Amino acid sequence: MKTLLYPFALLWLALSNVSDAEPIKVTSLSTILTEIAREVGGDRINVVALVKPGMDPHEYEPKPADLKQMSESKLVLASGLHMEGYLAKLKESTGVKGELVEVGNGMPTLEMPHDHDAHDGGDHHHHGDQDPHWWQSIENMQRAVKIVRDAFIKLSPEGKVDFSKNADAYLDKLGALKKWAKRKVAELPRDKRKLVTSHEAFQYFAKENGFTLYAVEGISTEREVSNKRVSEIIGIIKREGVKAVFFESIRNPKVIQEITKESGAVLGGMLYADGLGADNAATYEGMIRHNITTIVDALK
Amino acid sequence: MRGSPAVRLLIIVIAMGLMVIPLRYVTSKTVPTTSAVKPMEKAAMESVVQLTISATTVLDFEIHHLGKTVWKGEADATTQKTDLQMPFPAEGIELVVLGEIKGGTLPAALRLTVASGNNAEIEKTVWVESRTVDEVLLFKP
Repeated sequence: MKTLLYPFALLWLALSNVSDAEPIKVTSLSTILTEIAREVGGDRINVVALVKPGMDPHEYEPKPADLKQMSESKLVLASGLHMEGYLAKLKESTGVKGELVEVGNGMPTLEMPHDHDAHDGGDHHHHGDQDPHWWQSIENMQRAVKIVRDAFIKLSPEGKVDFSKNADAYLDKLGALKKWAKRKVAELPRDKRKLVTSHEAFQYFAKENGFTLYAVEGISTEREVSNKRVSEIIGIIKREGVKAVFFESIRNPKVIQEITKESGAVLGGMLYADGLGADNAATYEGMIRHNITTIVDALK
Repeated sequence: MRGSPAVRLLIIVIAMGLMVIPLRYVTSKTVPTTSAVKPMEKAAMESVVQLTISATTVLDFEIHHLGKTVWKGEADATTQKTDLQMPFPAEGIELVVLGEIKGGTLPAALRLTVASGNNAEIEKTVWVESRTVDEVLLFKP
């Protein structure tokens, strides 16, 4: 009789574990990582997003309420590669009690180009030697999904099956997106793949899709643009015959508009560089489709 | 010469007026316009690009270049060729290869080559592991 009851007892135990399991609190410092965490974590993870869509992650500084959220989290997800310049101070002040995963630190990176007008001075965030905008490459996004999945499994081994299943489903979506992106970019001749943007956030995109990148500003969005750099960009546009230039969702398009007047190039449209935005760019897929369609259709 | 002087004067004026049109055309500075040169430049940029395709299995294929279908048909173990008129810049060209396997075993291999002018033939092989093919291939001289 006892042996007959064992399977039922095991089933009851398993069911009670699922129903009793509270979602694990995870804090995200990036809109991109918030999406990954929600997709991979499913019901098992409660994601607190501190950086909201449309916010400039270069300029975000955690408030006391944010620090409280972080201190209560089992895991904090950050873009890494010095995107969050405040992390070192945060760790020192023991604001982060749970594990801190800087996702970008675990993937192949591109070196930051020489920051235009780097000696202009000013009190700015210090970025490291690597470009932190890794999400502009879909391949890097796939790597990030695996990094987050492994972090969740380490945090909650009993959720391994769910995390793996969710991650696989999301990776399939990203695989289909990558194929679409390659086909769409292939509509543009390779000798026309010259991308002029506000700041140097599209290196990974450029490398993955065969573009040459000309940015008005450097990696950070905080520094004022010099007249010298604007003149250089106008010269490049004229010399290379660049048809359109692009501004970014969180940046003032004034400088780019001035460049179009002087160079004869048209305003190609708005791009999402530093994370998710509103409406059709509220998801990673939407953001990538918006950016690529805008770039390809304007430069054709 | 017969007729009224007024009629004769009118005929002379009309004749001179008609001569102005070809004279103006011949002497105009705008005869060699830039728009007349552009198609020649474009033609010089384009060259004959020879594509060949073969596969270890039978498949229906479509080759797209710059968003347009440039070649479609059925590929198999025999090598098929086509000549296309297209630009081949130093940056290379990208061809989208779409296909659907009609039978045979997987994985299969699909081979596509591109040859243009004095450039050496460039060969790409795609390993096909599902019933459909959806690849973008870069051919760079």
